[in-house]
Amino acid sequence: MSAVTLARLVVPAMTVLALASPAMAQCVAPETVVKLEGSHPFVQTRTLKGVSRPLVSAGVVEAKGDAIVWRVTRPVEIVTKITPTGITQSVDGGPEEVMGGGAAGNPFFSETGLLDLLKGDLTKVETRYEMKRTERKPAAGWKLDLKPKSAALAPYIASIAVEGCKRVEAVAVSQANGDVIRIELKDTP
Amino acid sequence: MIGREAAGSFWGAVACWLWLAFSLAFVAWKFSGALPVDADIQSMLPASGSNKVERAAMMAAGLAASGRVAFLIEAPDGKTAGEAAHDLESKLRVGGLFASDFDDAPATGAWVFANRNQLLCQGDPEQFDDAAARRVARKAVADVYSVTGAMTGELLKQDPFLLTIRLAECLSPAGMPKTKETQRLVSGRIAESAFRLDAQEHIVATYDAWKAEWTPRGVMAARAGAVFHAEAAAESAKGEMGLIGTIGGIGVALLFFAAFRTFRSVVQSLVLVGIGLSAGLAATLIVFPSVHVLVFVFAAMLVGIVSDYAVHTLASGPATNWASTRERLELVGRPITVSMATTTLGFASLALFGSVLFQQVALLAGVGVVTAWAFVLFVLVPMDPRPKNAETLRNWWLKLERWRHAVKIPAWFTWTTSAVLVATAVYGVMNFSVLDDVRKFQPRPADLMADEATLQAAGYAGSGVTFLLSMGDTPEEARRLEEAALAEAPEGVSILATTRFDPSERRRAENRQALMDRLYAPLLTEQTEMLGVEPNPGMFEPLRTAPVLPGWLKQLSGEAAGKTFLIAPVLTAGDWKGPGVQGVRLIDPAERYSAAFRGYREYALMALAVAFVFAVFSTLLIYRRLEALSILVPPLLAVAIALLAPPALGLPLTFFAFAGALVLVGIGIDYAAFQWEGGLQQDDNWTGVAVFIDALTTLLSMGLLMLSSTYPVKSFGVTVTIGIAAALCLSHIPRLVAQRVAKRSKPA
Repeated sequence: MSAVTLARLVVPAMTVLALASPAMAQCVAPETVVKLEGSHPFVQTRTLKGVSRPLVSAGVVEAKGDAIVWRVTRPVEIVTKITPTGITQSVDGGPEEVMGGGAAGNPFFSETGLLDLLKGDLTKVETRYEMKRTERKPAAGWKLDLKPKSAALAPYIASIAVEGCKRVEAVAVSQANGDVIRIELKDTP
Repeated sequence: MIGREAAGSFWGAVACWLWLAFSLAFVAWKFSGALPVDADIQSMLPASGSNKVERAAMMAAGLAASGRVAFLIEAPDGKTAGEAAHDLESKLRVGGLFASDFDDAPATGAWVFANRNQLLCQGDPEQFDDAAARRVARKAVADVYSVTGAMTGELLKQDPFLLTIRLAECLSPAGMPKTKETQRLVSGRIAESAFRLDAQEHIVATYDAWKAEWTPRGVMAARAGAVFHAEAAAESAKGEMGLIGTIGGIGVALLFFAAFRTFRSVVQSLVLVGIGLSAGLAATLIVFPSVHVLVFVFAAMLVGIVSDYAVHTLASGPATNWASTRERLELVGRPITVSMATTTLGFASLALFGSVLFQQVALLAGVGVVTAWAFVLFVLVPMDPRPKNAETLRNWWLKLERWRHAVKIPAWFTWTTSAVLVATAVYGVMNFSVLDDVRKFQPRPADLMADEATLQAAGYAGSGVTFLLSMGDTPEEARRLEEAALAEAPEGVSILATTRFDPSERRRAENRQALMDRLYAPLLTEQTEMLGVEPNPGMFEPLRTAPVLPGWLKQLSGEAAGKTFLIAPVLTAGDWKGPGVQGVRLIDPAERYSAAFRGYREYALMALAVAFVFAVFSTLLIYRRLEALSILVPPLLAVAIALLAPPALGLPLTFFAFAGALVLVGIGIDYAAFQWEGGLQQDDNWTGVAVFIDALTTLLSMGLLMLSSTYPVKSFGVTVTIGIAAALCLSHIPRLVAQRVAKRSKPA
């Protein structure tokens, strides 16, 4: 790591740390969190309006460079590969199928920058959202409440909450119709 | 008697001015609103035909296909691509000219949702077997539990197998776009005809302005749509019209000044041309709501003919030393009238083709010629008084005539030229070739073709110009026929068919039964438990409010001649020649247009024969002697040479060459009639030079069309150029015959 890069990471972090509470002292500023890399267990909870129970799935996400592989292991086996050139999906060990529209086809996925948030790239957050930063409780860390700036996103997204400490640990997307999707990323086992 | 003639001339002049005032006012009024100019090739199709359904379907399919427009935007990152796409869409929407495909999405979604239990991704319900049903169920589960799935709780309750989403993905034959994260596709349709110049200008100008704004930010774009091809063709036509018009106009003005040595003559001839064009345009716009852009290209022929009238009229001044109006009219009145009558009849024969374009050309040129003729007789001659420097001008004119007389063509040259022409004609017969294929008429811009390839690579299916036409006595019959035809389409043929979204009643029942037997009955309980939703007993009930068929689907059907027809754009046809189903045809509009031009070309030969028959009767009626038929020899031979020389030069003939030949009949008779009149006079000192100037002005106006990059226009220009040269040389034949007639009738 060059001295310049080191300085770019350390100086803002030091500033944040100096202003933060003792509990926050162990965390880093959202702008400098470590990007998602390697394998991480995850749990996704969809709370859909009109559906009696939350729909919970779990698996492992693997990040390598620009590519991310979401491997759901329960309650159904789904492998979703996301690369800059598109998205493929395989269900129950079946053949990989190209998903319609690639990353661009699904505005929920592409226009929200959700993938960037999950990868821990928070550098572009403020170009898309009004951001409000608070302290996470009871666990140590920070929480970013994001409201979309673009009118085009409003029909889809009401708000997004991003939580973390040294890296992004959870993202919760509240859709305009009341549905909520929460994805929690755990530490590598 | 003279008083009655003077009164007639006065009222004739008044009528001319009133008609001109009305024409100018009407044209100004028409052009003050939306530009009444279109560039639609469909205007060339016969307006009435044996198969009205097919024509109506071609119009509907053409409208649906030509209205499609798409842009693929690529940026350094997805966010910029999204912003650029949003900006382009907003700018295109200004004025309500553009409607995005996303505008149709709610209506299409509502339609698919409402009909989800009667539709299948499989074209044949038999193909929806148990394995296919299980895949649908598992895919819905995957949507719910994967990170990329997008659905709502409400949808899941009503549609636990997410059939709505599956159908939205599969029913469009092109599937979903295959764009990258850094790409965005903006697609939709334009509300106006893509062939209207104002619509073209709005779309292209908006796109160019947007590109100028976003290119510095690293954004690249590709575009596709008939509107861009039409705009490129219209720009090319406008450029050519400007160039040819400017060169021709300057050339004619210089020629007039060189011949008559007064600015007044230049102004008089240009004003006469302007009057003819204005009157012709007004008459065309009275009958038709808009004028085709090609009509303006062909209007060049009017310039050539009307300027001929000006030449003869102005030449009669110095030739007669500015005799009285009556004497000058006696000199030019009869040959100009013969020319006007035969030319108008020649143009009128164009109207017989039943094509809107040719009817417009016939009307514009016919009314223009008659108006110019009337202005010559009632206005120009009376308003061309003896000038102050009359003697100088007369001497100059006589000098020109002496120069012309001094040119002696040796016999060997005449014979050699004749031999070359005969050899060329024979070679032309041996190598006779024609071109009717509209696809070869005009080269397509390379940049547009490259852009279209880029969009296709991104999954944009384009607009499908070829289509499947299914006709039935009822909508239900048309649907059944289309379904039968689709069943015959081989693998790889991609068709956007109405019945995939709105099947026949029989197919709806079969689909519903397949879904009940293989999906709902065996898998519904397991699925609802897996997803935590309660089975909704009302999910099979029809909606309280019937959904409305989306606008883009409505475009694909129509009624004509008591029949219902469905059009299904074929996005990929491969080698498929169409189904063997009675009442269904695979239609390639380019083939149909080519066939129409082939028909016109064959018909043009008949029109030429008819024009000559009219000319025989007109000539005999006016001159009342058989020898006068020698007037028809130059145009006849000129037409033959003009139609045989191009194939000899490796230029196949098009219908437009035959249209040029029709014009040659009128112009050839004009030259020959004046030469005949000159031959009858003992002291003719003006006809030879006047006819020579006529030919030069015609070559400057119509002959320059041979420089066009559009092959039909070039073909017209080449034919006219060769024909005019031949008609000029051969016009001496009636002069010689007339001199013999004059000698015979001279008292001993």
